[in-house]
Amino acid sequence: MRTSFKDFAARRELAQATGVAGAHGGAFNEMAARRSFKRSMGKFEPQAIDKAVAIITAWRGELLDPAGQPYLEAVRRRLNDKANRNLIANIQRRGLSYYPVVGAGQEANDQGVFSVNKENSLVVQPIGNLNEMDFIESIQQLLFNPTGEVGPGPFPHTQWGVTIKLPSNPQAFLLYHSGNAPTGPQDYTQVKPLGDTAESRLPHDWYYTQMKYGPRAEPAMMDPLDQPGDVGNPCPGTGKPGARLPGNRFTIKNRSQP
Amino acid sequence: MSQRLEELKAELGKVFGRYAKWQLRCKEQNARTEAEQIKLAEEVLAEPCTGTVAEARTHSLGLQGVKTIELKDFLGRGTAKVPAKRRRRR
Repeated sequence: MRTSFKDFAARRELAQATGVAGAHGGAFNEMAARRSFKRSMGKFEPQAIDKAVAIITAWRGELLDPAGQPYLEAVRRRLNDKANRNLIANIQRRGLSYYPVVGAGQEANDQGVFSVNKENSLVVQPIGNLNEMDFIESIQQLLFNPTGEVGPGPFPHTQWGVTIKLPSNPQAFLLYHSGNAPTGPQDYTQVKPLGDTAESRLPHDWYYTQMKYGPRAEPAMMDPLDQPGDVGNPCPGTGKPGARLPGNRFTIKNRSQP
Repeated sequence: MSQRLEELKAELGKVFGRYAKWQLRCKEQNARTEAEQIKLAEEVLAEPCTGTVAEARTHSLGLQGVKTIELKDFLGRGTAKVPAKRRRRR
């Protein structure tokens, strides 16, 4: 197999970022998708898909220190990234494939003041054939205990929910837990449909998925809330092109009626 | 508007998704008076919140009127709806 230097550099980055032995092997098959906006959006765009897909993270918006105070932003990001590395190891143990993206959302208060949240996330799929229910069960376990902690939980990185699309249903959906706090993977049984297609993100789309690698976002995908230091933007001085610029973005929504 | 409600709104806005959770709770319980809204804000602040995009989007969808479905019902209803995938001509 021939690979370009760019691909090699990307694999090396991934291996360094994950710190997981053998990460290049698992990531190899997803190499094209993780740089290709079209292939990534294509996992959610058609009504019928071949393989189940989920977008999951171990990030938490608020992490508290032992005194019950929120960590500083830089510490929060570092701890969340460490949790994501453990999530990657957990995904690999289950024989699933993954590649990194960024999940993003915006919300406004009644004064029209917006807040933004971005999370380093992972696109997860089965390798080979896997029953849909088996895939969902794996995802439910990853949601409750993403970092593979010992004990009954819930854990510091236990998640609220995940985005999933299955071959058996044209609707992508949010799967989340009932009640205020889950007691185990079996609590993740609530579904809210998200839409049956995916399109390039426009500024009025508050929730979207952003590519971590590949070309940077087109201006039409961006908005005034974008900041150079946002999660997922390449840092300057690392030699990566497009420093401080976000990647391409897509949003899951319902197909417009003809 | 009372200063107490303003303080609570500012507190709700500190964790992503909590403000939308409170708005949804007010909508669901038809809380129109400040006293009701304050009570619900205190309730939401006392509950755990992950501050994640997934949680905020869930509440945001609730505000748009998107109903929650049980997973088993969702899986049961989907099978017949998927159109056959078109094969590309070579």
